[in-house]
Parts: sequence; C-alpha cells; structure tokens
Amino acid sequence: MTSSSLYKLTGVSKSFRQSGKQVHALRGVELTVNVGEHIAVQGPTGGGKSTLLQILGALDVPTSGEMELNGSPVSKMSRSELTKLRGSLLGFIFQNYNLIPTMTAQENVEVALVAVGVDAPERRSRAIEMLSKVGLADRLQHLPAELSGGQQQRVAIARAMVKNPAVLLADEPTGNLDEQTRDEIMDLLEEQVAENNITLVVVTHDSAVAKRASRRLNIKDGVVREVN
Amino acid sequence: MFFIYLRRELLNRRRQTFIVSIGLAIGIALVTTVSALSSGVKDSQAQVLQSLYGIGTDISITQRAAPSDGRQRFDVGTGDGRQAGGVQTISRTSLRTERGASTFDDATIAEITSTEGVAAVATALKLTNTTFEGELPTFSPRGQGSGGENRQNPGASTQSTVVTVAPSTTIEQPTGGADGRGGSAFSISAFSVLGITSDQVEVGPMASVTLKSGRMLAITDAKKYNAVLDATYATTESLTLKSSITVAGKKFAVVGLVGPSAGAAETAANVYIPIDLARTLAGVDAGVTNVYVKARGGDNVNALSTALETLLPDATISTSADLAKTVSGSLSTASDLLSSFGKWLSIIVLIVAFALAMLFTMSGVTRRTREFGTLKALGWKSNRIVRQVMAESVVQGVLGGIIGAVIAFGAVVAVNAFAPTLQAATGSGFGGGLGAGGGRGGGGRGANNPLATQVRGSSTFDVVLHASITPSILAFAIGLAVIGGVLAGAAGGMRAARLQPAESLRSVA
Repeated sequence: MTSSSLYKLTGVSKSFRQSGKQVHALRGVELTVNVGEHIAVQGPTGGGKSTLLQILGALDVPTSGEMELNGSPVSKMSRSELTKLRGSLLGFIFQNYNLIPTMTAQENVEVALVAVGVDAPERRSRAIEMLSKVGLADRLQHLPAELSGGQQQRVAIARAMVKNPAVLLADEPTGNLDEQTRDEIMDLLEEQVAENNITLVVVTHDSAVAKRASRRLNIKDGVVREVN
Repeated sequence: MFFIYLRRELLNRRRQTFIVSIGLAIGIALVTTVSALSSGVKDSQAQVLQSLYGIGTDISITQRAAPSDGRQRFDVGTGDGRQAGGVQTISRTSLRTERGASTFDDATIAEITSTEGVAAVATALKLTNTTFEGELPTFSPRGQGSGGENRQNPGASTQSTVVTVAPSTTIEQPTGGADGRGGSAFSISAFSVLGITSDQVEVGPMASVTLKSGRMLAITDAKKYNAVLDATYATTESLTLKSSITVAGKKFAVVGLVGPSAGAAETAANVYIPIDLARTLAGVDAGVTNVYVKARGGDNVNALSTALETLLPDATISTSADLAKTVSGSLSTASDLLSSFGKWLSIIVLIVAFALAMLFTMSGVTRRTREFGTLKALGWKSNRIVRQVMAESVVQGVLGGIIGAVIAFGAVVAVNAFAPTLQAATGSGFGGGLGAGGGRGGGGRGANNPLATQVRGSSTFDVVLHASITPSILAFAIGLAVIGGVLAGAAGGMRAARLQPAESLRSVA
C-alpha cells in the first residue's frame, strides 16, 4: 500500500443468502484506490456493484479477504468501530436521496454532524454554509417533499460533504434525475470533491456519468475488471 | 437534534402518534375508571363498616359466644303487679348482655392496650334493655294447677322469652284477664344500650356519631343517670331532650341526641349511658363486651390482628377486611364485579393496548428501515437510534396516559352525576332503628319473638357510590402509560438496533 492509496482490497469475496439462494456478490476482488481518484463502477444489475460500494463504505464486511482503509484493517473491525469509521471518513449519496422525510433540508444536513459530535451552533452554521454551496440557501427550512428531485439530491450531497469525508460513495446519484439535472449534480459533485481532494466512487448505469470518471471499473458476476 | 428529531417525528407522523396514544388511552381510561370505581366502592364499604365499628376502628374484639340458655325470663307471681277486675297487670324489665356474650376484664384490656402496634383502644358494654308488659287473669287462691307458660319461639332465635306464672291453687273457671275469659295479652319491647366511657372518642362507637342537640356524656356524668339517645330512635319513641328514658327500671335524663357522623350510615346503639351505671344495672361486676382497636399505621392491621389472636386465643378478632366479607347486597355485588370482571377486563384491555402499541411501534420501525439504515450509514450509533425510538414511544405513552386520565375523569364525573345508590346488608349489626315490638299470646303460649330481628338482625344501608380519581390513581395510570410506551419503545428499539445498515439499504434499493 503506497502512501497515496486509500483502499486496498485483497481477495475480497462476499456471499449471502437471498430468497433461499446463496448469492456470490463479490469474488476475489483485488483493488487499490488512491486518494483523490474519481472512479466509476459499472456493470449489469445484480453484478455486485452495490455490494462493492457497501464493502467500501464499511456498511458490510467481506465474507473472506481483506480490506484496508487508510491502513486500517476494516475486515477485522467491530460494529462500533465500523460505525465510527463511517461517521468520520465516509460520505454516502443514494439514488433515492434517503433524506429523513420529517426533517427540513438544514436538519437533514445537520444529522451527519451529530454522529461526529459537533455541537448544535456549529452544526447549524456548517449545514447552512454547505447548503448555500449547493445552491439551496433559500430552501433551508423546506421538507424533502417540498423539494424537487435535483434539490433533494443537492441536500444529500450537502449532507455527505458537510463532515469533510475522505471518501464519497455514490450509488446511482443521478439515476432518478433528467439529463440537465444529472449534469448539474455531477458538476457539483466533481467540484466539491476536487476542492477538498476527496476520493469519489460512483456506481452508475449511465455511461455519460461513467465517462466523467478518471478511472472506470466494470463488475460482472462479482468479478471486478478495469476498463481502459 | 434529539428533541428536534423527536418533535418532527411526533408532529409529522401524527397518525401513528394518534393511534398509539389512543390505544393506550383507552386501556388507561378503563383501568383508571375501574380503579376509581373500586376506590368508591371501598369507600362505601368503609362507610358501612364504620357504622358498625366506629370511624377509625381497625380491629374489633369480642369474646367468642359461650353456650348459654340465654333466654329472657320473666317470673310473675300471683300477687305481682296491679290487680283489678280479674286482671293482673304486670311490667318487667331486663337489662343484660347478648346471649352467650362474656366480658373482658381490666387486665385483658391493659394487655391489649400495651400490644405493639396499638394506637388507641375504646371499650363498651353492649346491652339490650327488654321490657315485658302484659295482662293476665287473676287466679283464685282456691284453685290448683299451673298458671301457664308463655314460650316464645324457643330456640329459633338468639334470644327468646319465657314467662312463667307461679303455680297457684285450683282454678274452677277462668275469669278476668285481657279478654275477661281468662286470656292473656302482653307486649315486649327492646332497645340497645351501650355503656361507654365518655373520653373515648378517637375510636369506637363514639367516633362515628355527631351531636345533633344537647350534649355528649362527660366524665362528670360517670355516676349520673344521664343518657344520650340516637336521634332517629328518639323521634320514633317521641323522646326529646326534656324527656327521660327508663333503662332497667331507672329513669335516665336525656341530655343529648346524636346521629351518624359523615362517614357512617347509622349509630351503634339507641341509648348511650355511663359504663359504670350500665354494669350496675345489668349486674355485670366488671369488664366490657366490646373492644375497639385502632392500629398504628394502616399497613399494620394484619400484623396487629395476628398478635391479638395470639394474645386472646378465645376471642373473636375481626378486622375491617373480615367484616367487609359479611357485607352483601348490591354494594357487595359491585365490589365483586369490579374486583373480578372489572379487574380482568382492565388487564386484558391493557395488554391489548400494550400489544397494539408495540406492534404499531415495530411496524413504524419497519417502515423506517431505510431511514434508520441511512442514519447508521451516516455514523449514528444503534443506541442513539434506540433512544430516539424509545423517546417517541414514551411521549406517545404519556400522551395516552393524559388522554386516558381525561376520559376516565369524564367517566367518573358521569358516574357521580348519576350517583348510583348501592345497598349493603350486613349479617351482624348492633342496634339500628330498634322499634317497639310486640307479641300477643293466648292461653299461655306465644308465637313470635320480636327480639330476634330487633337486636341481632341484619342491618341494611343505602350508600351513594362516589367514585374519585385520587393522585395515586392518576400517578398509577400515567405510570402504566409510560410503562406501555417503554415496552413499545423497547420492542421497536430492539428491532431498530438489529437492523444491519447494508441490509436496510439493500432491502429498499
């Protein structure tokens, strides 16, 4: 593992039972991700893209193999250590935005800072600043249901970015958006990660989104291949 | 964030909050209403018992009845009474304790008083004044044979009366008497008399009376022929403060009239006289028939009762709980209904309410799987999420408790507005509205014994049910609601804690 490498996956496999069948979502994945890289992960549905993202996001642990994040062996971490890791180093963006429906845009962003113990006044100011950066300064007190899909995804980006994560993991971040909004969101994402030297891993079906990445991976039947 | 999240969830998921709170509220309302009614019924029972015991009395002690002839006996000699026109008019009075009753001596009273846990003791000598008045034929001194015997319903009641006319000489042809042909007529009247010590007002019979007019007996009355009367009895007998009443042939001046105090249904006796005079007139050397004990601390009654049973193995020691078992009638039915059906109905409804709250909370957690998965992905610890779910449920529980208490309050107000009257019948009473009884016998044999129902008969009380929600009932209700909320929150929280972030997000992807 070099000094600039963030992730190192060695022989990572993941299998689980789904609907009574054993599913081998990942098979012997060997992968290194460096700091600041912008990686797109593509592949057919059920190929293992989301599982890889969950392993990278410490939401799940490999069935076998090793994964290191910032030199720490994630595979051997306890649940509470994984929780702490997610709170401090990782940011997530979901296809369905996954905002808390009963909270305002500002509160949804603040939620990410609760996990890392930021006090209320600082939480408020950082959430407002982040929402302003994503162009939602005038939508702070709106509930998710009162925002468009693009605006909701901007809130999700603000929530992911507000704690200055080392990695941003995005699962189909533009899957529910039209082309124009897709481009706006991707511009925003790339701008934010570039500004803060954040590693971005995007799982996508959209070739236009994938083409914007500096590095592309294809995953099929749980096997990861580099796309040149 | 904790309170913001809590407020947002409760306000923005009003339907869930409303359903869980109302479910708990119905359970709590039922439990609270049943508790309030039970409390009202207990108060009513206490009211009935107080009329038997005296307010503040926890334990009543009497000597176990010993086998005894016990029948009232009036001997009439041929020369007795007033004789005119072939009619012998006689009048006899007897003042005595109840049949088979025996007394406690001063040493026993001292032992009772010094027993651990006794707060106060009162004593009384319980007597019945019975008057026999009648007209008999005058017998010729030449005749031979018996005058006759009037035996009233022997053995059928606790007291009976035997009238014996002294043997005289042969009667050739009966003349005179009530009907002029040798017949007889007589009447028997009785009233209850309580010999009391005037300074014992904290416990016992004098604790449950209030002065209507005149004055109470004072210590200075100890040797005076002064009496206090039950006001109702005085009215029945047309007696007033200026009247006198004859007890065992002695005239007592009526110095006061009393009625039952607020908590009691009726007074303990018709006539109250100083205990020393009562002993003298009844021919009782010393002692008392009844001892009333107040326990130190309400929880001490059973322990004290056990201690007294050990001390007095031959005595009958009854607590208010024992006496409550003798109460029958609609009051008893209501008590049974509330303690059986009401209690179980409340428990079942409460269990259903708790189960519903738990199911709704767990269902809510299931609906929020993605939300909790997202929070875990953002680094929220499981216990923070559990705390949040628990808090939501507890608040719903408290809301349910408050709504339930309001519903119960409405129900109690409705019950009190309706003011149902419950009837209580007690198997053993003392005194209580004794009226003049009478029997008429002919040919030397009587038919009925009026004393049977007058002295030892059952007493019936009408008590208005008044339900009330006490602070303890309210606290209990709110406590139950909070427990319901905690249980529901625990169930929901455990489910939330078990959610794996990857599975939570995968299940909704």
